[in-house]
This record gives sequence, structure tokens and C-alpha cells, in this order.
Amino acid sequence: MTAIAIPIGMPNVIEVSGARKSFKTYETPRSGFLASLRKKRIVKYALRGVSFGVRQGEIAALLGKNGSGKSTLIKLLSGILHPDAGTVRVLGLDPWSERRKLTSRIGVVMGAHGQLWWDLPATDTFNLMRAIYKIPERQFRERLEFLTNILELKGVVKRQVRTLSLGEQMKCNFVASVLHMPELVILDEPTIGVDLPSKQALRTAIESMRDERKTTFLITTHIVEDLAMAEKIFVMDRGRIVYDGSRESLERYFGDRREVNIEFESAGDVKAYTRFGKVLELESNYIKLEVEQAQLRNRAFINLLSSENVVDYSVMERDLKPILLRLYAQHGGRRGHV
Amino acid sequence: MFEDAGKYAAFFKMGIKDELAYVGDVIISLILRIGAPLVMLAVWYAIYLASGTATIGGFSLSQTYSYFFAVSLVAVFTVPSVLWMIQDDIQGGALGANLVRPVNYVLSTIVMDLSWGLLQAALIGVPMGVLLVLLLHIALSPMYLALFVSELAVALLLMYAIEMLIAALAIYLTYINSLYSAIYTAIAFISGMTLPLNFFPQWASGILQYALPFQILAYTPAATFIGAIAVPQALESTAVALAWALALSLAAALFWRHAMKRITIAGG
Repeated sequence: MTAIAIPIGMPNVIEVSGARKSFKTYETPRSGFLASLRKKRIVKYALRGVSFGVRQGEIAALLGKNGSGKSTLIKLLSGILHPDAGTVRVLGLDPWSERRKLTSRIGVVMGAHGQLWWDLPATDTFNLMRAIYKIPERQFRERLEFLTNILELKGVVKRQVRTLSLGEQMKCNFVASVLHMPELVILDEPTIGVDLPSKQALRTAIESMRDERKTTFLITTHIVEDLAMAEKIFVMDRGRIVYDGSRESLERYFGDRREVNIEFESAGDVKAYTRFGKVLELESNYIKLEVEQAQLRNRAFINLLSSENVVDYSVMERDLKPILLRLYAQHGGRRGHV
Repeated sequence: MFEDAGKYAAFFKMGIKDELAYVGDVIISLILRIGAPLVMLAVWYAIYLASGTATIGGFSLSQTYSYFFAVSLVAVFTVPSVLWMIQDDIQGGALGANLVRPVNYVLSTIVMDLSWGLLQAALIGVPMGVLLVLLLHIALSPMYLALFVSELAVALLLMYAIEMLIAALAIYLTYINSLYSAIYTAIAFISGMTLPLNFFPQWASGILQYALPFQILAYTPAATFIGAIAVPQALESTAVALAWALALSLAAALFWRHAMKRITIAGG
């Protein structure tokens, strides 16, 4: 059994050790006209011994490609699935055998499968949640006010859900899942198909709940931009956690590279720049370089960027995509420790 | 259980609101349900004409007309849609989302369905019943009315048990439309929906009325509504149906417990 690294300080809200889960399913090996009649029974290993922990008040991101096992893990944590092997504890409870008790203390947003009633305004769903979680009237009003303000939903919640945009639906789903102010919120792909302002509003709400209430968040995503708010990142690939650590450590571990765009007044001396990094794009008056973070403090490189021929230069925000792609390619089934 | 009554009352309220969101659909449904038996009237007119007799199975043509109107009335009160709600949740993948709330999924689904059923009963069933009493000159005594209402309650319990048994199967099979059609066609035949049970040979009619429960879904309440059945006979049939309904409800509850374990252990 794999040992979990128990963080010092705040208690662990999620503790998973050696969790395994497989499903029996079918595949059609051939593609002919009658292929559907000849199904082959297969076993799909969704989780192959997952261990990790999340502390109280932490925002943790669970990153992975489609089919990497993220959703299965979420179902294990919320008690919808029982692990084949290993142990899962959430808020000190066994999610599967104590699901009813656990569901009062957690909030779960499962991607497209929302809590909202399609033909009714979102306020009706919110009132249903008030009854389900037995939220006192005054607290309900205060929380609703807080959440609709921060998510900019004031004029939205009285409209029929089916008429709302995807972003508005997702924000309303979020409200419905956190109105009871759970200790742990699990968000399965919360920003999929959501526009930029809605994504930003969701991030603000998440950070605000973490800061004010010490709410713990576990967010599954395959969108790198969602990692901006996460203090802890887990990367899953083919049913295993291949990385468990901070965002900064992930960047350091893989070289912490940055992209630098440089525009020249006239054709520049490319060779002078290639000494500092790898050329990603090259035009007569423009060059894009990938450089090590340390190069940004290199006097020679800074002097070069300050030369008269340089009209403008910019250092791009850190992009985890290439790092993750490298990680997927490199891990070869081993867990990355930092 | 009782401390959670407020939760299920909220589901009930949501069910009503949801149904009323499309009141036009409810009105169209009313027209269709009242109009549907008219097709059967034409068929039975032809049968009586061809047979050359005034009565079949002890029913005159006008009694047969009344019977089929009454069968339609019974169906308004006793055809739940809980099965389709659960199948949608299973096929659409929403079942998991429903399991992460501190409510009993099966109970909350039944409560929502009941709210729709009661709304239909109020908007369609009651006006339809009054209309039939007036148009068909049915002398519905308070005793028969009470008996009719009790039979509807037992019929509803039986239908829920049957639908929940089939719905639990959906967890194993995913698609249960054909299975439901086959079962419902058989039930329609042996419950008196397509043919009054007194039209069957005596031995078959005896089994269907006093050994099997399905008569409570059509024949017994319809015959009670039009006054074509004696009180002791109706009571006996209802008691048989009630015993079956309770046994099938228990079986459905046990089957669901097993099915839920399958979802959570095998992954559905």
C-alpha cells in the first residue's frame, strides 16, 4: 500500500490510499455491418492504485486527459462508487457506507449533469436546496445574496433555466451546490464550454469561499487555465497520479521555461538570441524564444533585450500545457515526486 | 423519516411547479384523454352489430361504452411516469448527480411523480369523472365512490411497484422500452383495459378477478364506477390486489437495494 504524505498543520479533508477501480465493459472489435452483434467483454482499469491527500482550506486541481480516471475518482470521493481496493476517507467518513451523512457536508458539481430544473427559474432549485439541506431562512437569503452578487447572477436567477447561457447555467449550478456552505466542494470540469467572464466569476467565488470559510475545493479539469487558483496540483494519467505537488514545483521540476516575444525595428541578429534559448518562431522582424526562467535574470540577455534594434519585447505568462505534455510523455507509469 | 418530510414536501411542490410550467400541454392531454375512448366506441358498436345480440358478457352496448370511458378515467389516476424519469436519469448519466444529495433518490422521484399525478387527477381526472357521471347518467352512490377511490389507491400502489421493479431492471439493461411494452401489453389484456374481464371464459375470468392483481388497474374500478359489480366482489378483488401490491412493493424495495449496490460497486 502506498503511504500518503500527510501535510502538517490543517487536517486532511481527503485521504485516498491505494484506490483501485475497474469496470467490466464491452468493445466491438470489428467495424462491419453486424459488428454490434459481436461484442467482446473487457475490463477497463479506471484507477490503478491512487493515493493523495488534500488539506482543509486548500484549492486542489486534479488535471488529466479525458479517460485518465478523474471522474471515477470524483465518484469514489462522493460515495457514488465503491473502490475495488484501497481506502478512501472524506471528512473522516467512508464515502460509500456513510454517503447520506457525507452528502450534507459536501457539494458536488458534476459537469453537465446539473442540479437545475430545466423548465423552472434557478430560484426554484435554490429553494429546493434550502429544504434539502435545511438551511435557515435568514442564512439562505444572506448566502444567496453573497453568491448571486459575486457571480453576477442578479438578473439571471428568475429566468427559466433552459433560456440561460452555458456559463449562466454553470454558475447557477455552482450556487445550488454550495448554498449549504459545504466543507468540501468537488467540481468536475466546472469551466468546460464556459466563457471567460463566467470562468473568472467562478474563480472569484471559489477563492472567496476558501478565504472566508476555509472551504476546501477539489477541481477536476483538463483546462490548464483553471490551475491559476490551485495551490496543489495532481496530474492523472491512465488511472495513476503521475504528479502530486504545487504548481510552482511543477514548473521548477520541468525547467520552468518561459516564452519571450521580441520585435525588431529591422532584421535582428538571430544568432545572438539563440544562445539564450530555443527559437519557437522566426520572422524577419520577430522572434519567439523559449528560455529558462534563470535567463530572465541573465545580464547579457537583458542587455540584448535593451538594445536599440528591439522595438518591444514581452515575457509570456507561464503555460503549463507543454509541461504537462512532457509529463504525460515522460512518466511511463511512475509517479512524479517533487 | 418524519424529520425529512419537509425535503420531500419541497420535491412535491417542485413537481407541481414543473408541470404547470407548460399548462398548454396539460390541456391538450385532457382533450386527448377524453377523446381516446371514442375509437373504442366505434369498434364495439361494430362488434355488437355483427354479433346480433343485445348483451355480451352481461354488458349492453351502452354499458360497454360506459365501461371504456371509465377505464380511461381510471388510467388518468393510475398511470405513473416514474419509470421514464428513472430511465432518463440512468441513460443521461444524471443518476450519479442525484445520489450526492442527502435525500432518498427513489422516494424523491416517486414524490415528484405523485405530484404530477395528483395535478393530472385534479385538472383532468375530476372534471372527466364529473362529466362522465352527468353524460352517461351514472348513479354513483357515496359507498361506490368511496370504494372507487380506495381501488384507485391500491391500483396506484400496484403500478408503482411494477414500475419500480422494471426501473430497477433498467440499471442492468439500460434500455427497457421493449420490455415495458411487452409487460404493459400483457397487463392491458389481463386487467380489463382492452376487454372487460366478464367477456373472458368463466374459469379465466375467475383467475383474473380473484387470484391476480391486475384487475385493479382497470376492470374492478371501472366496473365499480359504472355500478356493474357487487360490493363484496369488488372488496374481495381489491383485497387480493392489495396483498399483491404490498408483496411486489417489498420485492421492488429489495431489488432496488441490490440495483443501487450494483451501480456503486460495479459502476452501473
